[in-house]
Amino acid sequence: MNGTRDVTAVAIFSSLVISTDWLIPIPNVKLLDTLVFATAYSFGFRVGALIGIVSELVWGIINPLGFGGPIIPFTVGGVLIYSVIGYWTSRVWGANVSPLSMNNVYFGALIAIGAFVFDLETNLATAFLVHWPPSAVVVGITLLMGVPFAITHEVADFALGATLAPLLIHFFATRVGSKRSSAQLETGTLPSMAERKGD
Amino acid sequence: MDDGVGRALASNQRRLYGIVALLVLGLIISSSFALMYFTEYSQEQASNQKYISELNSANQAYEQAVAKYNSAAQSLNDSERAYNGSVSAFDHLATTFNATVAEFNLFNSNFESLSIQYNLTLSLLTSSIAALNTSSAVYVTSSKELTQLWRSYLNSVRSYENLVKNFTQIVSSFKSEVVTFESSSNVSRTSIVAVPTPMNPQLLSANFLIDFGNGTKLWYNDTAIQPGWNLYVATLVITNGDMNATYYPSFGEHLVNGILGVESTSTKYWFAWSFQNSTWSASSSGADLIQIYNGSDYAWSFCGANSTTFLPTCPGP
Repeated sequence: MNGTRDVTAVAIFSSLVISTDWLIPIPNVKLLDTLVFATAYSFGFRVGALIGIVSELVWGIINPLGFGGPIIPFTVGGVLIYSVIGYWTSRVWGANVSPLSMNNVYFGALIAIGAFVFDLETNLATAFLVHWPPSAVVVGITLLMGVPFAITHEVADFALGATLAPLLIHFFATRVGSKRSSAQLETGTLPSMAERKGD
Repeated sequence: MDDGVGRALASNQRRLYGIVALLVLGLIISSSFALMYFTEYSQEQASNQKYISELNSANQAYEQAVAKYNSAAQSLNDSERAYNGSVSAFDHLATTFNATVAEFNLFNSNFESLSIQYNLTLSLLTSSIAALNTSSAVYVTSSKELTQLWRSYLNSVRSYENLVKNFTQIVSSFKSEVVTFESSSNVSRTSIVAVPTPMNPQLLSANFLIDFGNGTKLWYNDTAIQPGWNLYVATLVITNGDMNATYYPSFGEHLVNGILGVESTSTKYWFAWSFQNSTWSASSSGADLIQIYNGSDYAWSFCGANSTTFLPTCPGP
């Protein structure tokens, strides 16, 4: 474990996420999801989760639309799904990821599924926070109102994830040295979960 | 050897997980779209139902007013039959006449509010249909509702016009009775006779032609239209919604691909025309941008197009 590298990664990528959030003010089109996935993939769940938590916390507090309020814990909690998916994917796919292959589509799909879970969780939280005590109808209406935004989020995450995630993972593995195993990377033989089972 | 088998197994497993992820995402996105369109459809249906129920209650009020007017007109007839030329009998007749005029005026104001309600509902329905693809489920339901509503409105207008015509005859016959009474009894009663105030529904109309390019031409002459309708909406009403069109929101226009079951081919298309200065001229814009004016002529023709200018090769309908 390399503590200094992890802290540096968290600082750099959180800054990157927050600055791109400000620079690209398109709702539901965010680099955060792909970056958390890619960093959790390359540096482990903890680094990915920390980048997500720090970024969402700062974005929730210093937001162009105003202070996020009680929804912040839910957005912070929700963003952990990308870290979970990124970490799980790394266990299955291993470190040897080509920047251009079918993996692009698979990773894009996995991140987009994360977007669906994130939207579902945050929309449910909104229904409960705004309309407490909520009725089934109110929850249903809140979820339905979020559907068009959720579709945009999923499509954007699929596009960004498919384009950037394998590229970032490959970059981290070859240029930065991911947490998994630099030694194994050199030979391109980092074992996946299935491979380990086969050992 | 074992290492190679392990790698192949792992690769297959990754592919399997990837395909499952893609399928799950496909399911999520298609379900989301289905849910979104279903919600839109339900909302559209609910608002249409609301307008139609408001319209129905206005219709009921109007029908009650018509019934009251008819009963007042009946009393007037009875009074006229019982009239024997005496001053008291005339005064009784005048009172009944005035009561009939009051009912007529009430019925008028009911028709006015019904007409407003109809026009509001028709405008809302027209504007919602005017931004839909003809393939959408909402369009199918709404276009039928629009044509039914329009016909029901036209029927109401015609029934109103008939009633006004009948009442005008009653008034003129009563007026001549007043003149006869005044000259025979040497008393003046003109000032006590109430004056009815009928409204003029003033329906606009235009002529439409659909030329199928094979010698078949359908004319829809003197077709009633609502102010503000464009050629797309008018065609939708005269064809009972039997059109195939794709809506392009960025242009605010429909591309009309089919009318009354005749679809565009790779060589023949539907062109919109308007009759100006005694000649047909092909429209350079879509049917949505052609405003319909009272007493004007419009046409659709099915013919070939010039490959460079995209103008119709036929001289006109």
